[in-house]
Parts: sequence; structure tokens; C-alpha cells
Amino acid sequence: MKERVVKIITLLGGLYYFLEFVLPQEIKGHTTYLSSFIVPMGNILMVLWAFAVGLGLINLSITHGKKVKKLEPGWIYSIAFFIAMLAMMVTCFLDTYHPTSLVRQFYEILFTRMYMPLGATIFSLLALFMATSAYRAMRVRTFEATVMVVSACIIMLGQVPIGLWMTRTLPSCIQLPRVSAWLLWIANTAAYRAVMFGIYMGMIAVALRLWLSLEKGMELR
Amino acid sequence: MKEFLVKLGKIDRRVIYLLVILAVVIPLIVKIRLPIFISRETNGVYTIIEHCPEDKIVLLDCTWDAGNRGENWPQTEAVMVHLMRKGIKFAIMSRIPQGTGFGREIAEKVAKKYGKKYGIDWCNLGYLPGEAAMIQALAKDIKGVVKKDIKGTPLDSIPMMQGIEDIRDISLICGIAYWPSEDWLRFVQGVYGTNVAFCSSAIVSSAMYPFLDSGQLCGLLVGVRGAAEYERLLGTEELGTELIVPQSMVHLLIVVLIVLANIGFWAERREKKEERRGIRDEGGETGK
Repeated sequence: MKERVVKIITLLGGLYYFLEFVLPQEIKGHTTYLSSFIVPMGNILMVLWAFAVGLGLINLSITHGKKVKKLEPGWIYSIAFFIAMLAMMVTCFLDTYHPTSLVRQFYEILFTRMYMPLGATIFSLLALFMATSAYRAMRVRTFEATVMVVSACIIMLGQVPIGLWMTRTLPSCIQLPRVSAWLLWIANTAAYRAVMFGIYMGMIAVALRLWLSLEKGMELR
Repeated sequence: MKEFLVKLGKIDRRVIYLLVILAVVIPLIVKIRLPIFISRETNGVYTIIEHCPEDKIVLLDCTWDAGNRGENWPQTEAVMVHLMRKGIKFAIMSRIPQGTGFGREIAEKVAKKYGKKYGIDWCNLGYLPGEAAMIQALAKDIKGVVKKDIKGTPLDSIPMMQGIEDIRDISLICGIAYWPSEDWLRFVQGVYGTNVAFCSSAIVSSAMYPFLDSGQLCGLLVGVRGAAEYERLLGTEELGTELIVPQSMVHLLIVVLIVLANIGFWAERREKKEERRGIRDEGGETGK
């Protein structure tokens, strides 16, 4: 029964958004009434979204809670998770509903002085990994690899001012920024569109399977 | 010599890390000026903002956080400077909770410089979850989706939001994110024809060019490069201009490393070939 209800809601929800998108607001002067529900439907989905976040939080708490309870390997990191979550939660609540200078200071420490540098550090590490992986992987072994390596070098230099500076004495049509722009606007666009055609065909198939509840894993256990 | 060439393809990764760090740090200490090429995509964003009517607002979707601060911060700042200079009102929103904070911080900084006021020249709609469904609903009825701004003030009480009802009152949507949501194109640009511009990170920008080519996107700021070009168009030198030089040096370093790696690779290949030939010749002689 429960499963049938979920399937019916999925089907109706998908049907509503599909019809609202393809049908005009009015047909021969008669309203379809579909567009009038787009805002309440959007609000319902926003609430569901919030529930999903809450559910994620509960799930994380259960998983990490079990780890701490059984003192499984890495339980110390689970404690770090609880401390971080609670500290951020309490500070944000207080900052919104009871803003004082002390709370603000604490919030600044947590968000500006800890969260932001941590996020930036993780992303910055990418630059180092990308440099080493480019060094190790971009080898001219075949004709195709040569095309890729040459294009990558042109794009890398053409996308930054040093490319223009290096080729400033050449005729403008063969200066690196222009060659790089040609690669991005023409060659890349054609290739990316071809890839996207394939992806979107797959996405339509998956969407249809989800809409009609044919996808495995949608059964309620 | 041969050995040296082979070694070029086997540089220790820690040496590469050090070189990358130096390529970033040195240009930040020693100021270097490089010529900036204004691309078509950056010019598109600039032109569309230049032609934005003053009676409509611009919606800035600041969906980025600390991880992408290096690219999206200078982009957001450049766009906000242009909007405030032109006297075009704008509203900030975000599809992630952290985004609105960053948007607010930049808007407050720029507003202070240009003497603009919250509620009159700009406002913050806060975090709006729901992705495509939210975007579809927002296009139909802004005040139906966002009842209050981030400070809890009803939208009707905010001077700049009076008379702003739906997507027809928005002249431009500017998606600023690591990967801006293509839902703005699917459910807003495609349906209502509203102008949409994106400010993305450089790494994903190649995915945006098909939309630029088709005219669905009216402009694109590509990473720090986009911000630096935009600053050049505005005649300012802010964070984008400062950060593009270290980025240039790192790009140059990576290209040099790729060249060195390939020299080493070919030298090693040649050496192995010669070794094999030597073994074969020796084998041939023994056979005789």
C-alpha cells in the first residue's frame, strides 16, 4: 500500500511539472489552472528539501553515534563531527535569535577563521595535485594524445595574460588568446554538444524510469 | 646528457609542489603587470549590464562558498561594482546556505564605497532551496516564494522590491557559482526570454560555451581571468587583476612541466629502444 502511494505521488508530481511546462497558461481563453499551483508546489518541494537536510543530519548522527558507542576505529573523528556540528548549530541559532557581540565573535571564529580557510585549503590542494598529475599524465604517445596535449597547452596559456604577452609580436589572428578562443568557441562547443546529446538521451531514459517507478531501488522495504 | 634528459621526466612531486607554491607566492610579492585581452564572453556580461534598465532589478545567484572564493569573490565584486556604479538595483540569493553570507559581505563593502543603501539599492533574499522547482516558482511569483528578506523584513516593506512581482521585473539573472545552475536557462531564459549571464570557475567554463554560442547565455566570466578582464573594462584594479598574475605563472609552469615530462619520456623511450636493439644484436652475435 505504502509503495503504491509513493508511486502514485511520483507519477502525479512528474505529470504536473511536465504538463505545466509544455502547456500554455491558457488554451482558447480557458485557463489550465496548472500555473496557479506552481508557487505552492515549489513551496512544498522547498519544505521537502528541508526535511531531506534534516534526515541527512539524523542519518549522520546515527552512523557516528554507533561508531562512538562501539569505539570503532576512527571514533575520535566522529566526536569531532558532533562537536563541529553542535558548535556551528548553537552559534548560528544564537546569532540569529539572540545576537550579542560575544556570539558574533564566536561565529566569526568558527565561520571566518576556521570554516573558510579549511574550505579554501582543500580546494587549493587541487592546484598542487593538478600540476603533478598533468606532469605525469600528459604524455605524447599517440596522435590523439598529441592533439590533446597541444590543445591543453594552448588553452592554459591562452586563458591567462601571459599567453598574450608571449605572442604579442605575432599577427593578432595567431596570438594565443585568439587561438584558445577558437578552440573553446568552435572545437569545444561541437564536441561538448555531441557529448551532451548522449548524456541527455540517457537522462531522459532515467527520468522516465523514475517517473514511472520502474527504477530498481524505488521499492519500499 | 641522456641520463639528464631521462631525469626530466622523473621530477619528484615534492619539487613540483614547491615550484607551484613559488609560482603563486612570488608574483604576489613582486608586482608584475601583464597585458589583459578582453574576451567576447566577458564583454557580453559588461554590455548586458550597461544596457540594463533602471526600473528593473538584477538577480544575483551567489551559490558559492569558501572553496571557490578565489574565483567567485572577484567576479561577484566586479559585477556588483558595475551595478552600483550604474545605479542598477540588485537582489542577492543563494542555493546554498553559505552563499548569501559571502554575497552580503561583498555587497556591504562595495555599497560603502559607492554610498548605496540596503533596501534601496540592494537587498538579500537569503538561502532559497528547491533548485529547479524553486526557480520555476520564483519566475512566476517572487513574493510567493520569498516572503521576507534575510533580516526578516517583508519584501513589500523593502523600497526597491515594491512593484517587483515576477520574472518580467528582472532584467538579468547572473549566476555566480563553481558551476552555475543550467536550470536558469531551462526554466527562465527558455520560457520567458530573460537575460542570463554566468560567472563560473575556469575549470567548468568549457561546458558553458555551447550556451554562449546559441545565444542562451548573454555573457560569461571565466574564473579569475573573467574578473580581471571585467576590472579592466571598469577601469579598476582589484582582486581579479592581482590574482591573474600568479595564475598565469602557474599555468606557464604546468606547460613547462608538461614539455619537460615529454622530453624525459621520449629520451627514456629512445634509451629503451637502443637497449633492446643492443640485446638483439648481442643475441644475434651469440647465435652466430
